Amino acid sequence: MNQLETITAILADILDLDPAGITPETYVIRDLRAESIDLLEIGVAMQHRLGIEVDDDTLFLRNMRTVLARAAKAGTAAIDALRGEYPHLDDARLGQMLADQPAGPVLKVRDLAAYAAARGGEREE
Amino acid sequence: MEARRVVVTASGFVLPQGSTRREVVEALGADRGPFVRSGPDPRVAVCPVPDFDLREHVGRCKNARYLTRGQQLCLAAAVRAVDEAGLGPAHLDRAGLFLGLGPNLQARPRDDKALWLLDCLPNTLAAAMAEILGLHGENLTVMTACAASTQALGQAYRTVAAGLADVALAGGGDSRLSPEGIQAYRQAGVLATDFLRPEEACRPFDRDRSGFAVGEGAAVFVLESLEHARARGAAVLAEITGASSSLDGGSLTGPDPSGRAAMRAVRQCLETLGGGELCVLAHGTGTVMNDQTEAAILAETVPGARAICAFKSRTGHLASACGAGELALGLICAQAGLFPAIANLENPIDPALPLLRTPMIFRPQSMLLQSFGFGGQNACLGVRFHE
Repeated sequence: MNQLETITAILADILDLDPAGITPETYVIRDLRAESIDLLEIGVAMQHRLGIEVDDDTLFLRNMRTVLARAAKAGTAAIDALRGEYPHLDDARLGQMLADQPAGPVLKVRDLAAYAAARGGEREE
Repeated sequence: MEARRVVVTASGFVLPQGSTRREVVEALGADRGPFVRSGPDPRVAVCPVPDFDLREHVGRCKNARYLTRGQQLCLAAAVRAVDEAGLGPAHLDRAGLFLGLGPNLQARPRDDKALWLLDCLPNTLAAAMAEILGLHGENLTVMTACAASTQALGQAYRTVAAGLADVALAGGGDSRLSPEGIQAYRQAGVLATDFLRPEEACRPFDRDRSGFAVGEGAAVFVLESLEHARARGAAVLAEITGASSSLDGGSLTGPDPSGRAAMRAVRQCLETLGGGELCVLAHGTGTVMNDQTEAAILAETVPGARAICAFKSRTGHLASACGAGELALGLICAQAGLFPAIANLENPIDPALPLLRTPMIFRPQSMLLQSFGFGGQNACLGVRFHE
């Protein structure tokens, strides 16, 4: 099982969903309706099953609005602020997020996979 | 304010005998219950609910990861009860919720589960049930061992009688079939072990009884004030006339041999039942001490009863859910007009007691449910039928 497959299995398990309905482009909060306690479980499960250290705030983009507000106040470019906060996401993805942000929580399954990839980690047997 | 009359308008159950009335009536027609040997410990007889899948009853449920098997059985029973009652969101919004539950013997600290704390908290099921069914009223989770679900029914009855809720869900669910559950009972020395066939393990009120067999299941009832039930045209299954509880204040496991406190609880309910033909739903575990004490209590308090049932001989011991499970079976039998014999009862410890030795065609006018748990925890419920 690769990291994306493991993450999909974790989401299906914790949210009691059919894994076939989960793709990299699926929104974790907007589509899968993950609540805060679900995110807690997802973070712990990724840590446990992928053998990586997980920082929930970074993984789930928890402070995005605060980071953007602080950047606006300081006159820093939004993308620069996000790059510093979320080094596991590339500029193209961060750009999408900025455009998408007014429509709701932007976190997608692919962002969880990008985090896991950046953290290295063991492949689950 | 005068106490209001309280009626049962629906029951949902998931039992070893089935989860519909028809399945249960058919299964009770057999000579014995569907017992098998325990997988974790083949010396022990168990009575499982076959092929239980929560999703079949409630759909997808992510919070099920924090619920024990017994709690999941209870959730399924509650959803079935609400379906049967035909209650809508407006009724449920202020409805009470009273559950009798047991401990989670498998809960432990876990690195792979952020909120394993929820596995240990007794009210997690109530919270999950409230979310699914939209219940927001008076509530209580009762954990008084094997008296718990009977006591929960009693608290629900009192709450509706006092006018604190027009509708309340009450009952319980439990399963001790896990390796931990079996081990706990074995070490407590309460299980039947000297049997050839598992269906012969549990022998309530028999001279050769040696302990109980472990069961699982759940039953949840909809209680309503009589006016509320009438106003919405609900079918009335029975009226609850009284509820009582007491504490032996003696041994932490076995009953007080004098039965003094238990007898007081029994009498309190009996006084509310009025006359007519009485059917007693005995606790009847099949342990040496319980049945001896209970037989003495029965002889003293209900010598004139028409029949005494002991459903644990057919379902095994549902632990905290036993009272609710036995009430569900009792209501089904009363409606069908047929009560099964106590399985494996060959040599009664007290031949004068009206213990059911053969199936009886019978429509009782009233029923007395009694549950006597670890901790000397006693609870009774009085139920009356109307034509």
